[in-house]
Amino acid sequence: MICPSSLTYRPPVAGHPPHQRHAMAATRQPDTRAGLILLQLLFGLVVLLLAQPSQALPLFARQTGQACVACHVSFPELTPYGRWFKLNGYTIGKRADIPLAIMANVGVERMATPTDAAGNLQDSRDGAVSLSAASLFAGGRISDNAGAFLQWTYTPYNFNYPNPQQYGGYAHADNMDLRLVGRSEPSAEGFPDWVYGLTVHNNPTVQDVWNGTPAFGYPWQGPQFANARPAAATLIDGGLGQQAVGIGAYVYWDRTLYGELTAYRNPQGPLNLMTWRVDAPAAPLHGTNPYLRLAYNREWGANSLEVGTYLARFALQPGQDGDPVDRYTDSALDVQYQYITEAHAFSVIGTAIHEHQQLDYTYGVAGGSDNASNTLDTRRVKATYFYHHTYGGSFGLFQTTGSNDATLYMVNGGLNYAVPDTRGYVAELDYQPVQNVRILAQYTGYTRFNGGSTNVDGMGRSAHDNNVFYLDVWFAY
Amino acid sequence: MIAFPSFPGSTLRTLTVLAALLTGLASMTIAPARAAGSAAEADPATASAPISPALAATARTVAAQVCSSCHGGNGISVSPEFPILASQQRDYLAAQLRAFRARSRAEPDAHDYMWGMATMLDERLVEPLAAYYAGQPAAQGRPGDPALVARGDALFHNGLPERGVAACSGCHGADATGNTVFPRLAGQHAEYLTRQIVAIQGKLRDSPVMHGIVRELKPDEIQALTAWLASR
Repeated sequence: MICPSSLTYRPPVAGHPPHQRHAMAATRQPDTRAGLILLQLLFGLVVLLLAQPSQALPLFARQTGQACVACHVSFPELTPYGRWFKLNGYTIGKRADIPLAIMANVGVERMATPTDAAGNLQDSRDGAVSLSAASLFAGGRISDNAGAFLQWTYTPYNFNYPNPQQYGGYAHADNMDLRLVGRSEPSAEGFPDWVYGLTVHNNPTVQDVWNGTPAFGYPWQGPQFANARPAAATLIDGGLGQQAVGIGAYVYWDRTLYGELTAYRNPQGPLNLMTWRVDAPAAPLHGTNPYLRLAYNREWGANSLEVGTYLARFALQPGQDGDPVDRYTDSALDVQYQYITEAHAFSVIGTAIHEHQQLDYTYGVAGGSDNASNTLDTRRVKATYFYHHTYGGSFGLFQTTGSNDATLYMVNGGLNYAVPDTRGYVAELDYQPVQNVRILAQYTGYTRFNGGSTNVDGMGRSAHDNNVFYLDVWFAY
Repeated sequence: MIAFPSFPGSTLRTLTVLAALLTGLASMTIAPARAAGSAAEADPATASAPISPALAATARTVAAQVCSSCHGGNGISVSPEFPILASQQRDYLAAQLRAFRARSRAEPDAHDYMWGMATMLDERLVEPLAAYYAGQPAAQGRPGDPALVARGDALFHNGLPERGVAACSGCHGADATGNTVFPRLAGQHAEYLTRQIVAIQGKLRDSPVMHGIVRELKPDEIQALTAWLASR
């Protein structure tokens, strides 16, 4: 199965200029008619899919002939076999005749208080049934030693458009991961002790196989049209998605120890295709930025446990060549436990990310912060249960806290508090009538939002006014 | 502004080099896997031929690279979701692979995992794979609750004559190691065995004889039986 980054969209990061990921469509004319036709087509497709038996499965499932549940607890959380499949470079199975798959989300959002005191909508499609994203996937097995996961997403609404209720759609590059892999000869234990490979990808941690890491972290999908979003996130937590290209090498030994070293740079030459129609960030990467991943994995009975760390050091260049750069050092821990049988699947996943920001440009040159260095800390934990792969639910807690910096957060970030602290929970219930359809009811609640629990916008809005209920049908074929 | 990619001359050159690289990589295979590829194109009519060393090596590689991800190294699975294949009867294994392919074995796990895998497997690899797993050393039994195990032992060897349940040992052997198409049950995961008995009770597996024998078994009897079998 395959899964969208657009489902794990994260807000721009405070502390460095936010990239206007969706700003490019501002010049496009809204085309309501085309959108309606698309919706009708998608509706027809859903009807067609629901009428099919459950062999109707996406690309990787068609390639292996297996059901989605072989690789996923629930999309996109990977099972031990799903991890093995990905680390083997998507090569297991038979090359698909038509190596394509599609995915779409149709849902409705309801914000607790959708309009702020100034009369502005804080959820741009509050109460309206909307197609939030449609993706095309390509890739899978290329040869015994090469495979790919390529995603492009069509976003029908322009999130930054002055009138975002209207269509302003465009297609753009989404998550991508190309791999070359090798394996050692079978050992006396009957499996290859060493699986190793190279990966080229366009989103830090999209290459990872444990879901505590940010790119495929919980919540798997969420409200797309809530304008009120937490302002601060660490750079590794989605800030470089489809902005940077990473080239990395990894090794997995004895299904126990995983190590990876990746270098991220701005895309060059043909690798620009991996950031196709995604606006260049206001502050691009500077030079080569290292990422290190170590993980310990153990499987016993129906259980699996992973404990790991991921570390990255990124330099952003908001200024000109030769200017000082802002340096972000992210150090993170992640833990994952899964118990998976046909009848019951249970998992607990958590991560803690600490970021140290050395703002030599923002502070030293631009005077954009009070402090020469700041910190951000993000913690997330979630638990999931599924019964017979059909009925399930998840509950997650999230929290981001940061150091006090009035200039950075209040003057430049437009927040009402000098700290960016956000805290809340995401509760969801899932129903998967067939394996490639998920009906989801989700509630995101905030107890603290961008620094406070009350008056978060300076006009009397409380954190919980941004709570969102989200009902969605997700499907893939 | 919509940023369509442009391809200046240097980019085109790089693309050409990349394409050449990818083409080269696509043709790069490790030797055993190449053998698997050629087996996949072979005539299925030769399925009954003796297992050549090349096919045996291919089966070992396929087992290590693909099957082992669920069935464990050498066929001793870690998760009770997946059966232990080590020392299983060769004829039974081959029959199951063909039953998955024919979709006559239709419990949820078969549908989710094995239908597709078995369909992709070339007929010429069925016997070598079965022989590979049949030749692996058996898993060690896992001790269970002594009272439960003793009850299962009696059930296995004596059946339940008053309810017309035949002794399992008649076909599966006194030590539950199986015989040709009658599978080895000794040392198997209790959870897996339970699911199979329930599947056979529900006619999700094409085994009318077994259905007749186990259809009357009650959950506590299944628990005792599988506890004894897992302990062997």
